[in-house]
Amino acid sequence: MRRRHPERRDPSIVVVKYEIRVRGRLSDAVLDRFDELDADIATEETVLQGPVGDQAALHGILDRVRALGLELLEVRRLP
Amino acid sequence: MSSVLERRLSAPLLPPATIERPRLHEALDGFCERPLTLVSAPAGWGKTVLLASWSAIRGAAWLTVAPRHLDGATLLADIDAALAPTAPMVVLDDAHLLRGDGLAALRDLVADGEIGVLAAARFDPDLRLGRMRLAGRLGEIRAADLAFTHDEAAGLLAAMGLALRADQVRRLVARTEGWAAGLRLAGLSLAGEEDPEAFVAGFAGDDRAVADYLTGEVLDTQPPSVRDFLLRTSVVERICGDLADALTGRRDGALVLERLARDGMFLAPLDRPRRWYRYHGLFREHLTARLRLERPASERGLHARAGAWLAANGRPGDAVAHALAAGDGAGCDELLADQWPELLTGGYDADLVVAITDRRRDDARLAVAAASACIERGDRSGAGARLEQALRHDGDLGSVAALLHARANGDAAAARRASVRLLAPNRPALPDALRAVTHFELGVTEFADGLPDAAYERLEGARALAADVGAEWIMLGCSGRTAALEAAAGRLSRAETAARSAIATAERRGWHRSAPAAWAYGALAAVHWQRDELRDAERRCDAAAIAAHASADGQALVATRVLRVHLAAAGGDVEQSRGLLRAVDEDLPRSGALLERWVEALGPAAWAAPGQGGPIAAATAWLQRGDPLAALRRVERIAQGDRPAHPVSCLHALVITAVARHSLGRADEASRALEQALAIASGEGYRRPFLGGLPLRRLLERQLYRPSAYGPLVAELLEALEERAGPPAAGLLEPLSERERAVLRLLPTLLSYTEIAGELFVGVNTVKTHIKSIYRKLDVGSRRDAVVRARALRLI
Repeated sequence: MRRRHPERRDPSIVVVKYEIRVRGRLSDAVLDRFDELDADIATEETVLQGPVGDQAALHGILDRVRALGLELLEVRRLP
Repeated sequence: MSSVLERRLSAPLLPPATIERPRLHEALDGFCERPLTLVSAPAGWGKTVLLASWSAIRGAAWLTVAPRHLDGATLLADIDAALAPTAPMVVLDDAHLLRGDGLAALRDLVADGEIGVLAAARFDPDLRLGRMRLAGRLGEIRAADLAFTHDEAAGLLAAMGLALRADQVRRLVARTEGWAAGLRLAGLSLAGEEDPEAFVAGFAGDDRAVADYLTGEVLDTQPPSVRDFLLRTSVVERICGDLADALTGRRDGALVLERLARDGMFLAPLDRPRRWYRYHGLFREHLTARLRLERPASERGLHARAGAWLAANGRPGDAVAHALAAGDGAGCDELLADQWPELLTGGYDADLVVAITDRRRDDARLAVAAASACIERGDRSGAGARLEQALRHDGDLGSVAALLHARANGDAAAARRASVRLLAPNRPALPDALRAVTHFELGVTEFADGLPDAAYERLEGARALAADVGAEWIMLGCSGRTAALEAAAGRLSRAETAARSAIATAERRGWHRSAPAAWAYGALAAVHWQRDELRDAERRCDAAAIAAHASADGQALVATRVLRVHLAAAGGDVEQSRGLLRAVDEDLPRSGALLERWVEALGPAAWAAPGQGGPIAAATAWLQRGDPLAALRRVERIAQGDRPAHPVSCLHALVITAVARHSLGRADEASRALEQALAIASGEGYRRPFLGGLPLRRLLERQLYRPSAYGPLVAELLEALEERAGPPAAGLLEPLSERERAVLRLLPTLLSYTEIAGELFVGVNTVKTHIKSIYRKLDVGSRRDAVVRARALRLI
């Protein structure tokens, strides 16, 4: 099941994209807390992916993961 | 309102249905003599419950970290006040919240080792744990230890009134991996379940994230009125019966809270009379998520109600956050106007504050708040326009308006006049928040108006006042600029500490594009520059530039550009240097005392035209022209100037002196000057003064064979110079490892193998093993030969 972020960005702007994997399928309510990212739900894990403006934004996302008691599996910067 | 909510000196009351966990109590007993015991695990593993029950038995003191503890002195004082004379142990809850000054204070306390600190944290705080672990001074209890065993889980579920089979308990433990909150949530879901097997089977087989699934289950199994209560009350952090009623529109709030807490619904009482409660953070996060998804419109209305109640019941600071979250049209304008001092200290999003306060431009109080937000955005004219009407007011409002007006115009004298009115001794008490604001705005104005010494003292005072009222935003405003002042004064270690503390706060709170953040990043970049850590310097310089642009702080921008010119020049990028230089040269002459110091602190301008660039550059030029005597005369004038010389210039002067004397054949005097320079450099980590292109190699090499206290530093400098001389020749069949290279660098010194081992924090036998390997790879048989061959191969 995929959830796509509504507005797609102008492709000429260079952005840094990250991929964040957490354990377990996430409910709509929790997914909604990461609405700036796209979500790809696989068995037993959820992959959140999308542009992340800067380090502070990345840490904000990771803080949210922690605050919701989710298990962080992987953080990857996409090429 | 009771101050017990601010200062938790006693352990929190235990939730219902807790069990004793003797194995963990024994572990804590074993550790409590150590200076630090760390109980580190994410939310919901049972840290607080464990420590609360243990500390009650052992009589240990309890302190929960609060925003005031960002100030180290306050933290230590509170710990001191909490300690019982009989037991020199203190539990520090939420230790992960400590940063900067407070964290440094804890580090020192633990290093002293006179009392036992048991720190509960959601993640490992930065307390040199690795080193403490190796030295046996650290006790640790981690998630794996806190995980409930089968027997413990069985006990917990039984205490919650459930009768489950052993295999059912086993499946719950397996699925939750022993996570305490998970077991409790499962227990709550099972309460009143006719068929526990269905739940257990469903849960065990489901692949949803555990916390997500279980909070959903718990909510879904509640009666609708309770579910509604839980969702509505989740908008506030702390809740009492009256506030709950304001949020639900009912009258039974106190009773519901009591019952929910008794049933174990993740509500912890905060005071003895059990009037105030707090949701467990994790549970509340999930409640909030569901509220936002299911009822996005009512969320704002709930914030408005919460704000109104808090303001009417003695919590104006908390009220403002809710009022801002309520957004437009929610009728919170009067509340916000009333709480205008809080808007000045809270560090709220500047765009949000302006948008909301502009709705009622006729209200002078909101106008002042909007003006302050405009200043933060770098919009001076916007600030001026909004202050016009407020300036005509009498009283504190008018004075603060005058103060902000002076700040917007960079007029320190006017700022001081306004401050005098606010801080006058014989007047009704000024609210603490306004006192902090006054000192802060005055300090910032002095900072910008080129009065670095006055600003330094003022900002330190402002920071302490801000800590008292927990105004993190004001504290950042102070520490970011203090970092810049320390860097400009050449005090690298203090600059680094202040900068890192400011950056940590800024990044955590989303204030990383503010003016104080620009100064903090810039200060740290300057430290990296002087320590020859050029990539780090570039990185922080970029962050500083972004923040300086975003906050339209012209001075920060100039400071950043000057540093960038140095970096570009050091990297050999002539074109970029020239472009930046043109930009800098226009702004620099008008920039005042702070920037003058800053420029001097970065060292001589390598690109300066002859005759310009100051005494250090001139002396260097004399050396390069082969006239060491002229160079010596030039630097001697620095020490004899009418103002005390800048420490960085003094350091450069010493290095030049050493080189000049060496050229003149006065080897002993040269060595003495070099030793002085090394002493200064070693203390603060300066490297650039030695790497600026002066002929230092022979001098440094000779220094190795003298009784110097700075052998390792000399070796490090030689290696750095070597790297600049050219790429290392590929002459080894088998390359040296990282550790072997570290040992090799120290071979030319007078250090014994034992001393080398001490320098590198390894054992002597390790060093000997490395040496054997080095001899083998270099094909030599003695230490002297190893040094010769390594030099020939350009390895050192």
